[in-house]
Amino acid sequence: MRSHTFKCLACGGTYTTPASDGSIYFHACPPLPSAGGQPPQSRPKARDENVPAANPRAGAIVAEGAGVQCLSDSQLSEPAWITERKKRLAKEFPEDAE
Amino acid sequence: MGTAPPPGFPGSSYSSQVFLDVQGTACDPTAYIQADSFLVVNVWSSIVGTVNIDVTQVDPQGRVVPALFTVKCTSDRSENTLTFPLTEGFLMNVAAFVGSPKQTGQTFIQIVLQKATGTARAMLCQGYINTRCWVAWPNGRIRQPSEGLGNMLSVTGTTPAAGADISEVVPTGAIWRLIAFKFSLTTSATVANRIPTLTIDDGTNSFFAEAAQQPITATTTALMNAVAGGVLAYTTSAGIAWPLPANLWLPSGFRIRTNTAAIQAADQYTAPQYLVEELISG
Repeated sequence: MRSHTFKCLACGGTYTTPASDGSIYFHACPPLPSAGGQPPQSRPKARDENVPAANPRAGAIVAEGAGVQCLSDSQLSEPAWITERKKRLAKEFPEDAE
Repeated sequence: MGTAPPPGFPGSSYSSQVFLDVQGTACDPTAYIQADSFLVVNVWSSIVGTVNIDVTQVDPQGRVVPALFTVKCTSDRSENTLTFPLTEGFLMNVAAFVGSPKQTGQTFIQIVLQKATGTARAMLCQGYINTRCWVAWPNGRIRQPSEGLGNMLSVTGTTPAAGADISEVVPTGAIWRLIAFKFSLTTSATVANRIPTLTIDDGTNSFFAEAAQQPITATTTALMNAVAGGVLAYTTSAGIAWPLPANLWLPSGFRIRTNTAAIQAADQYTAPQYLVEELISG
């Protein structure tokens, strides 16, 4: 299974998935910095790639947010397409790898 | 009594030399299967793979009918379900084993006997499977997902943007015991005393927040380690250590993050590398 490196367009963070052991990394944007003991505020257009807990088959990820850019393959730049790929990653088998 | 397996029963029968007299047989009533019964197999996994289910029945003519079928599991820890029709007769055994290498704590399987005409269900067996551990009925266990040793998972997290803090989230369907968390901060030339606070929260409210013992000044690379059972410490070579609570089990949605006072726009955290023990939540 081939790994790709992505840049989150909401928080600017970069990450690689899947890991060498096949486990998927689920990126979620960090909250905005907080001060004075206040609870952290969520980031505008935050991305959360986790599977929805209430209905895991209803959608691919919790929040698309501002989308992502694929850094390891410039052809993979359309956010919705990457979300679909993320959904598919969870079902790929070694024999189906790209 | 039906004599043939129902459609879809992918069994294969060998020509037997021995036939069992099952008429009037007294046996464990849970082993008697009516023609409208099903095996329901639920699998939750953090890694893709195949789980093989081996079923042996004795049909009304006394013939042993083995069957083997496969469940493909996704790696997002969501439920994968397969319903498998049984033929009338006696259920002799059910066993589940993996078709590809796996560690314990990665794939949890539950095998249930269900009547199609009602909601009656009987739990046969459940537990984690790996290359050396099967889940089977009879003589198997009914194990909870939170029991026993989990999967030791080393995770490379997100490299935050410059000037942003680290934040890692326990994924849906998992519970993590946080063992070690390592990262570094390279500060810019802007003069300021950055004070990182390692914070663990429930997704909103923090229940653990420990500030570094010393501030990090300009043009420095500070290596930071948090480890269960460690101590709060600082070394002259800009090494910072945090203690983590022992046996810190974190359910889905909980976060491990930094909150850095006086962080500057060009300060850069590396991706954290952390070790967790993972179990499937449930």
